[in-house]
Parts: sequence; C-alpha cells; structure tokens
Amino acid sequence: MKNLVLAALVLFTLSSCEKVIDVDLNDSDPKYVIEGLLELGTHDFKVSLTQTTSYFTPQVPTGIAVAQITLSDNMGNSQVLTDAGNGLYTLSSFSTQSGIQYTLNVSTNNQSFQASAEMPSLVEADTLLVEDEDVVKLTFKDPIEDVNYYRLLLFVNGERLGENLLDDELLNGDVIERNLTNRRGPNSIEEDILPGDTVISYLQSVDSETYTFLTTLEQVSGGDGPGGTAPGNPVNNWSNGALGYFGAMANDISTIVIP
Amino acid sequence: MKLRLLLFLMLVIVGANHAQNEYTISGTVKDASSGEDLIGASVIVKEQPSLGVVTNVYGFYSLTLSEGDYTLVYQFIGLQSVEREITLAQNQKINLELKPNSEELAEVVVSAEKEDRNVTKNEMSVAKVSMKEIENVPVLFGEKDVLKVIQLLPGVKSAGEGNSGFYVRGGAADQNLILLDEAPVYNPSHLLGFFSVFNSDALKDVTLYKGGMPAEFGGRASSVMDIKMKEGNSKKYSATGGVGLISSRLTLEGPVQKDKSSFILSARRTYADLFLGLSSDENIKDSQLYFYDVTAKLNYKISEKDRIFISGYFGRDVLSFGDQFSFNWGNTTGTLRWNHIYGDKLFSNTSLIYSDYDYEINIGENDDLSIGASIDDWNLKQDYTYFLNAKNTLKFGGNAIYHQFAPGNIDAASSFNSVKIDNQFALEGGLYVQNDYKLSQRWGINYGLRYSLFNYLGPSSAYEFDNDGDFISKTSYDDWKSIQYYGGLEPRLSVKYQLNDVSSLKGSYTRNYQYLHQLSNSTSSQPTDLWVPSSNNIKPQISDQVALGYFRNFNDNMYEFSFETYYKDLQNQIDYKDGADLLLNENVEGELVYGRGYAYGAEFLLRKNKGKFTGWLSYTLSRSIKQFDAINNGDPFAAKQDRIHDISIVGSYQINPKLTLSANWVYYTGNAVTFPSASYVVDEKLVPYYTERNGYRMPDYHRMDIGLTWINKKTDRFESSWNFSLYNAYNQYNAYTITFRESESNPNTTEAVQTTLFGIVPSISYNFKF
Repeated sequence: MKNLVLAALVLFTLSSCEKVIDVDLNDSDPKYVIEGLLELGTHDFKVSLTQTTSYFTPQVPTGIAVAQITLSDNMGNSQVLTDAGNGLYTLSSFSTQSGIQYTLNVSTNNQSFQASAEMPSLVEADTLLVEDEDVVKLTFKDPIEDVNYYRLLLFVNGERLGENLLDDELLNGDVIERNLTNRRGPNSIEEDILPGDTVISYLQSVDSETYTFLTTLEQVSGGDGPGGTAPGNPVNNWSNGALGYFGAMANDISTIVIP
Repeated sequence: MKLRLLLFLMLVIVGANHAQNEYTISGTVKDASSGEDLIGASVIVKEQPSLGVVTNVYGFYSLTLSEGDYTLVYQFIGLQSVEREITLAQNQKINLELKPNSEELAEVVVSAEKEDRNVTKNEMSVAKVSMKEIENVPVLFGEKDVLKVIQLLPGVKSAGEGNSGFYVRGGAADQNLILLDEAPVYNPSHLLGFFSVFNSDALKDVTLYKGGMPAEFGGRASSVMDIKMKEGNSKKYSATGGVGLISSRLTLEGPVQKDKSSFILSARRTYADLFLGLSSDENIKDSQLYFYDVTAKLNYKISEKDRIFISGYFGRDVLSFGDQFSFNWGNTTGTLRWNHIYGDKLFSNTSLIYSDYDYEINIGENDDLSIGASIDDWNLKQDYTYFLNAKNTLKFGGNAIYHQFAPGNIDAASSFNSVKIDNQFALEGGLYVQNDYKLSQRWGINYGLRYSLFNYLGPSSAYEFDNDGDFISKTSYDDWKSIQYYGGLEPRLSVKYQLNDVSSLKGSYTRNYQYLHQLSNSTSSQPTDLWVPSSNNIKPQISDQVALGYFRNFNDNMYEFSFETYYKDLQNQIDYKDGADLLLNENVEGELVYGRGYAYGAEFLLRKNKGKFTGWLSYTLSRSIKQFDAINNGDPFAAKQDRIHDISIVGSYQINPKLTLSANWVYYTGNAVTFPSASYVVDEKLVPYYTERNGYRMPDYHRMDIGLTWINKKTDRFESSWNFSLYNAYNQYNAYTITFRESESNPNTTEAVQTTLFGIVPSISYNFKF
C-alpha cells in the first residue's frame, strides 16, 4: 500500500529527487535486547542477550555475559539456560509441546525481564512448487477450529529471502495458496531460481504475540515514508521495557531441488 | 428548559430599546452585472453612521428605524455605492442592484464588503480571501486553489507539500469543519493532496473562522470554513474556463428565466495521466491517475418571499496500476434550500443536506478482493435571522444530522472470506441562539449559545476494552437504541471596543464540541483515513479558545493591520499505540489512547488592499503541544502541526491594465518528527529504536513562487488571459520526507535520505470568459 502511494507520487511529480543529508541524532542510554524463539518438538533453544548501539554506525552487538536465564512452563517445570558466551544462552535438545505456556525469565545487572508464549499446533504444508523460474507457491490447509498466525519463509541455497506474514481472519478453514516473497529486500528484484537450486520453505505457526511483534516490526522497519505508519517501536511481550521478543513456533519444512 | 429561559432573557435584553413608531426597510442587494446576491453588503444610515445592517448570505437585509427622513447608503467594495433618500412613515421594500465601479474596474479588489469591516465588525479571527484575489496568486501547475491561498494567512498552516489538509491555530486537520453550501466535505483533497476539491470558478465566497465562531456553526474543535457557491448569472449566459498543463475546466452559467431563476454548472478534469500512455512499460502504460469534479446549482424565485436553491457537488479520484489494482475515492454533497421571508424582519432558511465520502480499492485481475469504507450524512437544518432593529440582529435555529458510518468491508471472490465490520449510526443535533448587538458607537458584542448533542445509536455493537486496549466484551444494540449519549453547552462571545475611527480592540471566547474523529496513523493524509463517531470508548473532543486582538487601518483603509493572540485548550484528543492497525480492524477503538492538547500563538497581518500594488505580510509565532499518559512517558511533546515560525509574503503588482506580476514567499519551521536514537538487531534485521515522540525537526521550509497574468484580449463580450507561473522559483530542495537506509558506499552504516517532491515547476494556463 505504502509503496503504491509513493509510486503514485513519483509518477505524478516526476521531478522528485533524493539526497543524502546529515541528521544529528541524540544517543540514548543502551537498552537490553532479548530474543528467543522456542520451537515445537525437540530442538536446541537459544536466547541472545545484547544491547542497543548507535544508530548511524551500529557496532556488532556485544553480548551480555552476566545473566541468569530460566525457562519454565505452566506444568511446573523449570530449567536454567547455559551461558555459551558472547551473550548466547542455550538449552540443548529441549522438548516442547503444543498448548503449553512457556515463560522466560532473564535477570541481569539488577534488572529482570519476563515474557510468555503459548506453543501453537503444527500446520503442515501440502505442496511447494516453483513456476516460471521465479514464482514459489506454497499450499496448505488452515485448520478451521483454531485461530492461526503464520510466518512463511523462503530459503534458496541456504539464503533467507523475504517473509510473508498472515493470519486466518479472512481465510479460516480455507486451503491457502501463497506466493512466497522471493526477494532479498523490499526494493530488490525477484531472484531467478535455476536448475540445481535447493528451495526450502518454512511454514511457521506462531503464537499471537509473536505475530503482533513480527507485523509491527515489519511496519516500523519500513521507515516513515508517505503513507508509512508513524514511527514507533515494535510491540513485544517483554515486561520492564526490554526490546526483542520471546516467541513460540511450530515449523513445517518443505524442500525441493530444481531438476 | 435552560435554553428557553436564555432565549427569553436574550429577547428581553435586546427588546429593551424598543421605541414607538418604528418602521422597517427590507429587501435584497445584488450585483447588477451578474445578478448574484451580495453577501455582507452594508446598508448604513448616513445621518447616524453607527446604525446599519449587513446583508445575509442570501443578500437579504432588514433595517428598522424610528419614523423620519433618512439617507441610506448601500455599499459593497468594488461596486458603486448607492444613496437613497427615504421618508420613513411605513414599512418599505427596497431591492437594489449595485453596478461595477467603472473607475475601479482595472484595480485589483482585495477585500469584499465594507472597507473597514476589519476594524468595525463584531467578529475577529476571520480569514477571508476574495475570488478575485485567488486569480493572481501563483500556485503549483497554475491550478488556482482557494485552500492554498487561505494557507498564506496567519494562523492557517499548510500541512506540507502534497497535502491539502491544513492546520488552524495548532489544531489537527480533522478539526476543521469545511462546508460547501452548508454540506460538510469530509476529504478536501484531490490527487493525494496536491489540489483541493474546490473548483474556484464555481465559488462566490470563502470565510474561515479561526476562532470566535458564530453559534450557528458547530461540530469541529478548531475552525469553520464556510464556502458558498455562486448562484449563476441571472442576467445573461456566460462561460468561463481554462486550459492548463495538467487540467482543464469549464463553467457555464445563465438565467433559466431572467431575474427569476438561474443555473451554474462547473466541471474540471486532470489529464496528467495521458502522458503515461507514452511509456514503454506495460504497467505504467495501463496506469491511471486523475480526478474530476462537477459542481452544479440551480435557484428559482417562486415569489418575492420564497426562493429555492438546489446545489450539488460530485468529485472522484482514480488511481490504478494495470488491471491488478485500482483505487478510487471522492465526496458527494447535495443541498436543497428554501428561503422564506416572514413579514419584513424574519428571514428563514430551511435546508436538507446530504454528504458522502467513500473509497474503494479493488485488487486482482477480476477484482478478487474489494475493500471499501464510507461515511454518509443526512442533515435537516432550520435557521432564522431576525432583524430586530438597527442595533440587534438575532439568529437562531437548529439542526439534526443522521450519520451512517461503514468503517470497512471486504468483498472477496475466490479464496478469501468476506468481512464486514459493523456499520455505525449516530444522531447529532444542535440548537443555537445568538445576537449581534451594536451597544454604542464604540461597543459591539456578539454573544450566543449553542447546545450540541450526540447520540451513538444501534443497530451496532459496543466494544469494551481493558486498560491495555485488549478486547473484553461486545454488547449488541437494536435499531435506534442509544449506546452512548453526549451533549454540552457551547458559549460563544465576541466583543469589540472601537478606540477611534480607525482602530479597535476585540476579544472572544469560544467553546466547541467535536463528535466525529478522523483516525490517521500515517505520516501524511491518506484517502483511507477513517472517520469514526464518538462512542462508549471515544469521548467528544472539546476545545476552549480565548483570543485578543488589535486592529488598525491606515491611510483611508488602504493598509490594514491586525495583531491577534490566542490560547486554545483541547480535551479528549486521540492518538495511537505504536504500530496501531487502523484499517479494517473491528477492535480499532482498542488501538487508541487519549490525552490533551494546548496551543497558543500570536499572529500579525499587514495587508495593502488598494492601489497598483496589493498584498500582505503575515507572521505567526505559535506552539501546539500534546500530552498523553501512554505516549512519550507521559511527557508533553510537540504535535505534528507544531510550527514555531510561519511567514508568508504575498504581493501582486499591476504593471498596466493588461499585465499583473505576482509573487509569494513562504517560510516555516520544519514539522516535528520522530527519528530513532539507537538501533539493534532482531530476527536478523537492523531495527531502529525510538525514544521520544516528535523530538526532532524537519529542515525549515521556504519557497518562492512567481506568476504573471497577461490579459491579451478584453472586450465587453470576451476576455482571455494567459497565466505563466514558476513554482519554487529558486529551486529550493525542501524535505518532503527523511528516511534512513543502509549506506551504499559504506554498507555497515546507515544514512539519512531526504526526498524532495518539487524542484522548480514552470506552468502555463489559458483562461477565458465570455
């Protein structure tokens, strides 16, 4: 929508132009950024703990090493994550189940943060197809009994291209067919898919708060062009003002190799 | 009850100076060349200059005086004054037509009505431009535009390039009531904001009340823009038109029956998109981007006492890309009016008004998905003007509006489910009474009271949300069941104290309730911005404004100076949570947060109205601040419309009767914007982190435009002229947006990019009249 409006403006004015300018930004105090995505089944679970950096010249985020991170569920189980260095905290081969509420507690430097997510059920893909060398189609059946939120990801030869976010508000119970975004960024062109390429799709069912985070993240990272949403921070589930998110996701992976 | 008592008191007060043997002179005043009613022509008693009345918007006046001999002077700027000696021994009817002033024909007429109205009238905070004036102000693509010219006056600010929205005294764009022949126009912009929806050829009078609104107006918190269409020439047929670079327009008018009925029909269309056909790109070739609008009006004089008017407006914008996407939007309004004069003193106007704004988006080759929303109004309105005597003119009346909102629906073919968000209904009403009282030579007072009410009605559902805006429950209501009722008194007061013949002090206090709100979460105005009613969650916006002013005219009204200062308090303001989703969201009210706002400022205007050189210099110093508990940690922040300095210089010089050179220059402080303060990585993306709302400023904006009008042919029967203009004459690269992106030269860093919409834009248009 936003790009269409912008395109219309440019089409209309023709004389519009761009230039790089200097903007003097205030630096803010560093804030904690915590990111963790729990997957259905038995997988390694990783949490990264970093801080914000300067806007114009972002440094490689330095991980926070002095933290205690605990993952618990609503069945009374609880485990402490292992510090793997560089701000990474892990649990290896951790098993999860649909319908269970997981809570992540992080305490560092006298501050503590908490976020929860409920593990969704798996929705499986029916078909993954490549047409006309650049159209990648994923088809799946939306379960009618649940409210579902999806993130679709496309990887070509191991490289992550675009993502699609959708919910089933308009599509509940339908067979859903989607063309996966086959671009590196919003302004880049579609990649050709050639014989020999490996095409992988992720059909991720996510919890509602992760979906809210990902959609608002998509809006705010789009900048504030005409018709863009007024700038703001993505809406997340952390208490106490931490950035990032803690989510739960069931992933169905399909792979094809182009003959 | 309270109201009735007030009305009674008012009548007692104004009736106190009733004397015996009074008689009334009444009638209408018209322009002799076109037969158009003159709005605000003055009728003055020469022997007692403080006695007099002005004609109302239908050209009607009524003046009651004691028995005796008088000389009446009928005046209207740019027209010859007429003096009538009368012996008043019974009620009289005097209908007059004022002829063009032959000596002044060549002179640019800047203000209408009485020359010193600025100083002497019981009103302040009024911005007025005449249709004549608009012709000479250079504008983008030579498309003369009343909204753009109004924005050059103090206290009225353009919402920025590519935006027809405007801000009045620190208020938001949706706080302006824009009336076209009494019908509200919900979206005043064409082509994503480059043009206003009003075709100046069809307009007669535009008045903007920035404060001190008369009690007859209500419904918006910040301003009233009252636009009147022409009635159409009742003497002879005429055509006016123009051919420009991107659009053409044509207006036809004339009598149906001479001096009894007349019509006007006006239309225009842009054709910028015809050039797209030349493109080799298939998608661009099949794209469309245009607007058109049609304005029509018919009036019929049934008898000396009765007259009927029918007027309508229809406008549409169309934007499409190939057969994949199309988007169209527009306003429709219609007004049916009946004027009736009871006796000699009571003038009545009854109006039935329809107004609609809607948009529709179609996606897919076979319109697989269609998204639409609309707002519709039916309004029944009754107004009376009672010309009690030479010192008091009373107005009273009321109206009832039935609003219907369709906030959004999706019609889907194929694999999508259709969705329809419940329609919403509301009844809005108002009752008012006001008196314009000339207390003495020095004191004048205009006081009034309005009671407004709003009833949010079924069939619909009331949604309830917790403090975080999460949905709790939904209650359904049947037809005409009240979901929520609001109402309130709106006092209006305007006082004038005349220091001497050429200067005065004025003060005013105004309260306004606003029951409809436009939700807009994006950085510029969009055709999809939604109007919503007040509800169980959304409270009406309330504004209170106090203004003081000093007015002084110099050199026999050749120069006009005014200084006004104001303070405005705004309650129940609306803003949005971060990342709020406003489009097609059933729970949209849960995305809103509420707070307050306040604005204050000082406005200077120096204007030259006569002579070869005319124009004005305007300067506004102002602030507009908002405070929301849920935004910016509860700290006050600058509103989007906060502009500290705003300067406009407008000048027009008549080199000779055929050639007029004009120029204007504007300068204003850049808009308040939100920029990031830090960044972080999440989900493999670099994400900006924002701390303070509107904590930064866009660069200051300035621009100069130059225009030249050459009348190449002028006879009694035919007139044609060429207009050449340069928009942004010194090619200033003003910032439309500033965005951030990864640097191309240094990939791991971010750079700020400024987009400029217009460099220098030359244009030419040809205009004719016969």
